[in-house]
Amino acid sequence: MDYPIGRKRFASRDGDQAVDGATSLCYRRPVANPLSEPAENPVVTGRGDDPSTWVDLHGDALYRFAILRVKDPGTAEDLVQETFLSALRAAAPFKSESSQRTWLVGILKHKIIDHFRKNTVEVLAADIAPWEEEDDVEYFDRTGHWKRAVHPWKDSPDELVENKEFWKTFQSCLERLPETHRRAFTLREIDETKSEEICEILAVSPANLWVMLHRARSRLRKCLDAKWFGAARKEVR
Amino acid sequence: MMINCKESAIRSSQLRERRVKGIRKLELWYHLLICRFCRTYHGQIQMLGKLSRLIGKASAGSTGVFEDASDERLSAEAKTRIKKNLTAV
Repeated sequence: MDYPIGRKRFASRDGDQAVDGATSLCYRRPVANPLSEPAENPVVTGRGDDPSTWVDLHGDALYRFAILRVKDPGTAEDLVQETFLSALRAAAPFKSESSQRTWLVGILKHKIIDHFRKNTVEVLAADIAPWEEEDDVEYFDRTGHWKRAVHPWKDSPDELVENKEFWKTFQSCLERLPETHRRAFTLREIDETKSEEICEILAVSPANLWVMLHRARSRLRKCLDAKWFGAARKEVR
Repeated sequence: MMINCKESAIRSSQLRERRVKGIRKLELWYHLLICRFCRTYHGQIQMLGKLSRLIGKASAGSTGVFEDASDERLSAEAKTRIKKNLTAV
């Protein structure tokens, strides 16, 4: 059930709510909310678990999930708390710890998206220029060709993802991105959210989103190249 | 038929959004065929995508990797506060 969002306020086909699509020309796709879909959850009858055990069982994992996406520790803690509270209000306990974790992560994902929606960040003109001026000058000559060599990365993604030091580097590079770029990149590449959904969440046009993603990838590549892959090259020498 | 490296880098990123089609895609492939640095850059952008997906999956707890690899923990104060709020509901 997709429908386009125009430049003015409009009501959905069902007439249930008006949506402000001021900057968006993309499509709004309803996102499935785990809280409203108890039928899909492996629910057992009754309320058995002591909710305080949830914090010990899942608190750290949910916090790690949140901090990767929202950067600010205080916000991440609040989102984890909201997740537990929503879970407590919404449903019964689950059969297994792993399915409970999956369910809680699903709720947290929605909390993070709501947080992005409520706390929009102004998109500056500089955020949507295809290249940052300093990168432009650093990388390309006047004819638009590379000024210096682009060195290949040797490590494999599967090995890197298990490397604790790489995690730290990746997270620190991600944190350095401007807020708008970081949100766009996280939603698109880490959570594999569709572009149409992202421009609705971030209230940006598709064209602006694509530029933001390009800039985010370019900066992240530069940071990882300098802090991880470049450092490894120096060690080899 | 010729684009420069700067344009090629932009299109490599746009390709991930399936935004490069037809002649624009041909121009990109032709450029990648003849430019080693752009091929490397293109591969790195693809690798960044794969890495991010793996990190996303690991952080969602589908593998145990994230728990071993990340030092991030909910603070003791936050845990106490959350437990208190949960029991108050």
